[in-house]
Amino acid sequence: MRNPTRRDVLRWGGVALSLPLLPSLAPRRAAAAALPSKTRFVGCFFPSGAAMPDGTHGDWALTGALAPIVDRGLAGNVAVLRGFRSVEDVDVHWSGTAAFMSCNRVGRYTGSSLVGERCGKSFDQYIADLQPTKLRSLNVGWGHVPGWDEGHDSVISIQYVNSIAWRDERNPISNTRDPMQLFTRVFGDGTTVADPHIAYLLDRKESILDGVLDQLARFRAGLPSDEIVKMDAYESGIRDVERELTAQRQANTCNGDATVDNDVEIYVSTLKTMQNIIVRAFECDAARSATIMYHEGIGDTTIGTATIGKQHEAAHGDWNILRQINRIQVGLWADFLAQLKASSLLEQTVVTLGSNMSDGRTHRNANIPMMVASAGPELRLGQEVVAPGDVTNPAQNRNLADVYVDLFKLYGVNKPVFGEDQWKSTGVPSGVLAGT
Amino acid sequence: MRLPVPHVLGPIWVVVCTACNGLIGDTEPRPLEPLAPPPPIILKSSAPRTLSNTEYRKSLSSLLGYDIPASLFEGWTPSLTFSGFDGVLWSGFSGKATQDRIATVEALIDGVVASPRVMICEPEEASGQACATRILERFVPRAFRRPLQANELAELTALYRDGFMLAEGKVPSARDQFHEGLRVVIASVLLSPQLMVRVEPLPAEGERDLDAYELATRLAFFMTGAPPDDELWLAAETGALLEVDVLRAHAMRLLFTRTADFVDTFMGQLFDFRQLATAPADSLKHDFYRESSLVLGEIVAAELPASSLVAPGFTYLNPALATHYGVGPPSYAFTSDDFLRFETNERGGILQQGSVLSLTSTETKTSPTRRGRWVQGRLLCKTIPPPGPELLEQITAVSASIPADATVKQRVDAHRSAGPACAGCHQYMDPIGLGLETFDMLGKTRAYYDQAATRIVETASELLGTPFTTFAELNVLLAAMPDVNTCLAEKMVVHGLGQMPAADDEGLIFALSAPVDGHDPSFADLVERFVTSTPFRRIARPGATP
Repeated sequence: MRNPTRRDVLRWGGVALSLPLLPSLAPRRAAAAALPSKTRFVGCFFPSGAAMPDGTHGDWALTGALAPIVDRGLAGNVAVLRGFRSVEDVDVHWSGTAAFMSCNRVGRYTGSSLVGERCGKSFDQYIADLQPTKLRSLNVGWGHVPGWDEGHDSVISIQYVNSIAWRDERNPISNTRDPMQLFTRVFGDGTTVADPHIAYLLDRKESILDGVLDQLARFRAGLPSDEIVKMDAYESGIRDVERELTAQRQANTCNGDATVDNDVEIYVSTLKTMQNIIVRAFECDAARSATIMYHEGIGDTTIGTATIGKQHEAAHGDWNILRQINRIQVGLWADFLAQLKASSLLEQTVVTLGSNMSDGRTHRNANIPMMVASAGPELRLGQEVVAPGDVTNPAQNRNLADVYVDLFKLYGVNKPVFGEDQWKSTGVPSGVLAGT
Repeated sequence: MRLPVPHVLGPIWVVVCTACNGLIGDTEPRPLEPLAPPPPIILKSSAPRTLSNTEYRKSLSSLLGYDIPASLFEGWTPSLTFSGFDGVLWSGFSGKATQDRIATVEALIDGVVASPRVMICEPEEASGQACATRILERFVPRAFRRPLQANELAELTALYRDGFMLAEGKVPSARDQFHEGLRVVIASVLLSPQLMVRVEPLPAEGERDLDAYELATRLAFFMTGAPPDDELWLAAETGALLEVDVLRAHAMRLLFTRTADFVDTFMGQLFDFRQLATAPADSLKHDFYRESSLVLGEIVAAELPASSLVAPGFTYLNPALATHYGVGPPSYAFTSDDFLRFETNERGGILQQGSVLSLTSTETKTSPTRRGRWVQGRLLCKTIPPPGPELLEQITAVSASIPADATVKQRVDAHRSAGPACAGCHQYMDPIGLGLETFDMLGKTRAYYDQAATRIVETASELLGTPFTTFAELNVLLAAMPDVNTCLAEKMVVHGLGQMPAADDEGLIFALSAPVDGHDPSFADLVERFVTSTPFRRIARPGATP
């Protein structure tokens, strides 16, 4: 006989079960020496590279696009990686984005037979597994491309340019792009469970979700085995909502006071506001894993004022504009680091920032812009970490997977192999860890 | 942008963009020739498809009996499209999509018990169970687009009971409790994958006929972008739809009574203008949308040749649009803001409609290359592959070498004189686009690019070697190409079956697009042939031989 579900209990007694307190919502314990040094992660991304002629360092330097890091006094918290390559499996806008944090190849449609999206579980999702929190992960971004052109759309999924976070190899995670939506998810809509009607509505919502899960189980049973995996995503999505409901019933440790940034530039204010919310969610331990896409993987919209222009077009044609866009995005990232630092969270957090290519004119996947930031002695911060060999030659570049294998160690995760095919980790230290 | 393998689309003709991607051998443009003789019609496989946001919204509207406002879908991640059409398999289940869907259904759920379409009875006993069961018996098959399976009704009735009990003591009356129970079960049905995914299970081996419900669903989504209406559902329930004559009759009924829905879901996606449907009602964009809908609607309803969409000889204008274009009746001819039919050769063609002209331009300029590529892709079904990496370097160099004061024609000519690698593709795009330069970013005609009238618009060009001087001549050349008919047939297959036509679909495309009594087929001809064809009514496991 199956275990009684929440609904069975309702049938028997008409009362809601009180579920055990989630560990993340318990008072935070002082870190014991044996615990891993890092507990939080934020993977950040921008598309179409920087002013890096043929993959040389170019403007991607502390005196150039990275100046905002210096301006905010954060140079000592950042390692600038040189000589790492992105996954160029198909068009690098697509594969370099989708595989940015998994280093897997991407699936493609073959002939008239279609398979859904396929890449790999991303690094941030492994970190999200480590500790259950109210919100599994926060994934935010700017822009969404619904389709590109027949040449691409008939071969590869457009979803590849829209997601750096992947729940598993078949399920990309869409970004939240509206700060208000993100705010409501983290802080609720202002109602409290002390109101009995609100408490009832939460119970009702759980009953609805139980019903959906019943339908889902029945539906899944009728599917061919290779299709069942797609329904896993739906189930995990519903479970996430259930978990959020459960946390909502507990004493709410998150207060809805994240600041709204009032920068006149809508692009900047939107992303800054969402960054503020992520920091607040980390502070009250409502989440420990996040991703920020400063633009979808092509960069098809205008960043900054209309006079600055589209990121993708700038990367192809006008590097004066590209430099401005790079500075805006690095500036956002530096702001985010500064906030984490001010909240004493930077020591526990690793934050990355990278792109899917270096030179956007030629879509070169060599020597991509890539940085790792944190505080503490474990990483080689405040310096460049240069891979041996000609950094502009992708064949001599190191795989990004080696960086992730090293970062896993900081979370106490032993994962010696990451990525696949020629993008797989090599077993050689990336150089990003101190003492390697 | 580049792909390692050039994808050349279209089962019958292929644009050979020689050297365009650096991977195909010869450098001479090849004439476009049909292959003969017509090959057999091959059955297709079938893959599950998730409803797009639009299809989901229309499904909910149809089930609840009122229009769900599009505003409830703001903030949703836009649906992915497959070759420009709704219906991407297995997308739309990410965590965010799930949260959005739950929030939207929660916002709708209070209104469910006020819908006469749902509430077909009143509870007679305290538990309300008999009435709830009747409601579910009617509601759920329509939601799932099939009859209920064993135990399904019992499970859902149990869910109703849970909701009913949960509300005990929380709401004022037994009637409110009845409503709460219904809300729980109906919300979970609206969120169930049975509603959100269209599945046509493949036979264990070989091939099979679609059942009447599957056929009704295919037909309804293909023709209206929404689930079956009551009449179609009845034909599925009785099984009558399995008779070809009944199927044909329903297709024609939908085509002629819900013409606007057909135009919106098929041509609105094919030609992109559906995205203007949600523009504010008094905006230019919405006027563009209405113009396209009305012109194409008449071509469908009057059974004109489908290819006449290139140059129908008429358009529909309201006062604002007539002023904007500077054509049409004098303002006193309008007695209201409504659209009037107006005979003209200056407007109305798909390439003279403000929707297409603006959607193929940026806000600040037109692009002959972009427009030419659009014509190749949407009207002629020729995919121009994106340039490879070595070409990107060359493009950068060519762009840099063009003087700042070069005319549009000089710029475009520079693409084609920059060697075979560039010309290989640009010869198929730029000449067509040049012919449309007489229309600006908002579809207005222009003789000069600048207000000072110094930079003249030059439109003389050629289509695949045949010279033309005006867009009207370009239209004549395009309309005479058989490609327009085969392309519409091909796009119908993509839209109706959710699959790219493969090389072995030649037979189907030929059969659909063949002339009728020496004339180009009408949309009614195309639709009738398609929905009565075996690939529309039967499915086969991949590799099964018919």
